[in-house]
Amino acid sequence: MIEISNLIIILGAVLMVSLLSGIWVAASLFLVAFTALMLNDNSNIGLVMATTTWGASATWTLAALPLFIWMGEILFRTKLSDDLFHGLAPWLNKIPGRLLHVNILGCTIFAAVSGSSAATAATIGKMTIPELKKRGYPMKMMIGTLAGSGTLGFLIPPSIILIVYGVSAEVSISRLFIAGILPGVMLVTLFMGYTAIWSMLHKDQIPSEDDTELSQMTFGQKLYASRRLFPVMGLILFVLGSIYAGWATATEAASLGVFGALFLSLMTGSLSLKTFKDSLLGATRTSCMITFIIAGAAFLSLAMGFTGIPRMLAENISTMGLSPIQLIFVLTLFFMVLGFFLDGISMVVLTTSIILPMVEKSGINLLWFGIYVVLVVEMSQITPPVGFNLFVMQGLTKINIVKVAGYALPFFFLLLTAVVLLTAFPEIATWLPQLMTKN
Amino acid sequence: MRNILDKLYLGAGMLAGIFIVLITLMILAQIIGRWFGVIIPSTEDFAGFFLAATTFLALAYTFRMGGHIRVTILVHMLKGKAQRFSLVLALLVLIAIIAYGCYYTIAFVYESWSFKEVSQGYVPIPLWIPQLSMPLGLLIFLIALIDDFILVLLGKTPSFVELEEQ
Repeated sequence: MIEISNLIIILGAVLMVSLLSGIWVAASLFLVAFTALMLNDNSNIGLVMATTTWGASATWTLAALPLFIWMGEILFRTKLSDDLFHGLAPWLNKIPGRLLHVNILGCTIFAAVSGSSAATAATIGKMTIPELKKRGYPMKMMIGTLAGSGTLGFLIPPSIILIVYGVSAEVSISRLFIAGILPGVMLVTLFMGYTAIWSMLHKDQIPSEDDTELSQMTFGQKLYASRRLFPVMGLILFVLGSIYAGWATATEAASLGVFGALFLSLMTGSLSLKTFKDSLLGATRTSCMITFIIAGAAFLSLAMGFTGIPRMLAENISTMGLSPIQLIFVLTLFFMVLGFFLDGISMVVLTTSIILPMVEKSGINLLWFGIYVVLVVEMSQITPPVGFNLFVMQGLTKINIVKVAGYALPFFFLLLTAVVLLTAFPEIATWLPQLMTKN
Repeated sequence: MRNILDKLYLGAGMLAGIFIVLITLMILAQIIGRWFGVIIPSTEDFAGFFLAATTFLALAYTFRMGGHIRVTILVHMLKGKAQRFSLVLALLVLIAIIAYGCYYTIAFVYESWSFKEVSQGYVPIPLWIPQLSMPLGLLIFLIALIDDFILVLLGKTPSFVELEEQ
């Protein structure tokens, strides 16, 4: 037997080396787990691996994952994104910051459809950047709002990353979705509030005489312009509502969502054999990528259990007398470092396999922790060097990545503010799920 | 040969997609059935089995399309021979893991078969049948990996490298 502290160093090194040398994330997880079991003198590692992998892959709760991804892929192909600009712009023209808010709300609506932060920023940006540029909005705020609100893709339910967390941490996915609603609203408010205040302070940079066309629209015309947004928003509200009211489990709500999405795409005339096949294959790929990682993470969790590392970390927390707030502070720093090179899903599964017992031991609510992790993962999307949203913005605007990162910085601090608020007032995440139980 | 292999990967990927459709249909049927007081037995078991089939059958196809994620920040900094070497190394590690997985999942399914294990639900299903998707998918994945490994050795660029995002 090896000393546990040496074991941590060896396994940490194996993980870092294999990840950084470009070995696939799922494979790296298997490799670390395998090394841990070898060093721990386990026999029958192969059969343990096969059993765990099967157990992690064939689960009912995880079935929500491909279905929600598929729903998003179908809605994505209904050209929803084309309607977002003209549907939202008339309503936002009077608020300070005007059409910059289209970026934020556009991302919010699209985030409900897509679980990916980079895809959200890219899709909305592709459509709004030319329109906003034409009207003379400042590049700095255009990019900042897009990069920032693109990260909502992770939080706004139905969220793929919350499913991954829920399955690996054994927290109810339905409750996680409901818990994500208020923090999502809070973030949108923070983003819009900042944009409004910035615009009031920099009146000269916001085009004043915007479209006379937009400002002269009557209520009816505005409604007409956004007519195509209502069905999609209605579908998302229906899916979430059925979970909240307890009519449907997450997996059931997901299958209803797929049905609704297919119906919408049939109504809008975008359903064809080709879009159906493309959406299905797209969902298959994304879902396979994620479930492969989840299988690796399940094997890693099991191996970690044998090594005793998570237990030791948990005991250390209590002997060190670290308060939950201090632990959250340390973890936030730790996640920010991890986020420099890892993507969100990998960060979540590593967290659940190694540090969850520690979090639980210090008395932190695991439902709350799920929302917290997602917020921190969102932050990592807009920090260099591997903030995916920064790359997306660079690709769309051809502006240097360092500048893009600078533009996104205020939104990084807004996310940090959200983490502080969530820590100070945990009810932001836990209140709605509690109400749900009472029903 | 190229053609046959590509069809194998895509075919398995499509089959994986069909299992997603089956999950959707089955759960919808369950919801509708509940309105009329009809209970469709063992849907939870079947959803799990279909999901596993989706995951494993799609492995090779997803891989070829650059769908599996990895950290490319350092690898992309490498040039020429060094980059090729890193690719060979990464592929070798993955081949080793998947070959190991193949061997032991076959052993695992064989055990289920010889012990006549069945699922816990209302309808007892011999477990080796759904479990078969695991070694089958891994085997196709292994073929795809060796396929790409040979491509790299021949000095060509495998499809996943071009399709990888970032």
